[in-house]
Amino acid sequence: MNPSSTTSRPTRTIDGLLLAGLFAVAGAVTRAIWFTPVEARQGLAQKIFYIHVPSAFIALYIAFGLLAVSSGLYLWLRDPRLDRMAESAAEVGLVYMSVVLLTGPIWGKTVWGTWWTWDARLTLTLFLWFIVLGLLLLRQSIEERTMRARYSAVLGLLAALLVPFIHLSVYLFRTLHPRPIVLKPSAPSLPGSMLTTLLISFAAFLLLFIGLVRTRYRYATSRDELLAAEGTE
Amino acid sequence: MNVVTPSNGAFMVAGYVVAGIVYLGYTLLLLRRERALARRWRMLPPPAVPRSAPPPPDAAA
Repeated sequence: MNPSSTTSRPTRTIDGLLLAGLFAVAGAVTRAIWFTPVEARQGLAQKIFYIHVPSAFIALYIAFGLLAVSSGLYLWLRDPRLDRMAESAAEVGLVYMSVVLLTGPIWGKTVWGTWWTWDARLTLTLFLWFIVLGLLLLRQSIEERTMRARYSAVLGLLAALLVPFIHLSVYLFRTLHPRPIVLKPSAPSLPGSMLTTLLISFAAFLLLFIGLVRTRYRYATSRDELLAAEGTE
Repeated sequence: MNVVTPSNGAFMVAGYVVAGIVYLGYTLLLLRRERALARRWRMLPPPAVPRSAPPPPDAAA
């Protein structure tokens, strides 16, 4: 058997889920802008909600949750596939978190009258963004594979420890950031059409996330196999 | 109570444009990195075909 046939050489085709995710997000955005009522007090700027909230939820709970689980399992099992999964989740999560940190101030300027305030929710989110950025930069600076995986797994676990504090920050501190209107013990305080758009948007961004992580993981696998084939690792 | 809906559509557009740039930009970056990797794979020399070992002397006899 030809050994090259077992490697993950990158193909020219774009991942199907990634393509589906991009179309789904385009559909969700269309619905949010043109087919969802305008909020009376906040006006059109409130529609940023439909990208800000799903991006935040996916980054904090899904991407960084996946980062924590993969990192923890890597420290236990030492399987390089878990390291690649943690790397992929961290990078895609950082992209989602960047969208949260960029769209939040644009929305905040219209509602709060200021682009930024150093309250607990915003500051902790910015800290988490820097920690995950640091994790990815740390990976670039360590050449030895197992040491790189071990250090970044520890940092990944520590980064994910911030997530519960970010979630609870709006309850523990006085902040400008509103409390959750959907993820709370009582029923969501959102009109039906807006809630439907939010759920559609969430599903679309989740599909995009899965497509991006799959593509990033495929890239990481192929890169590691290439380095092994070149004899540089 | 009368509610005056603010006209802040420009902020909505800015939010969607910024998010679009980040998501599409990262997707394109990822695809470019994959293409660059594919080029490096193509530059690798073809794998050596293992020659079959010569038969042991007593088998030839």
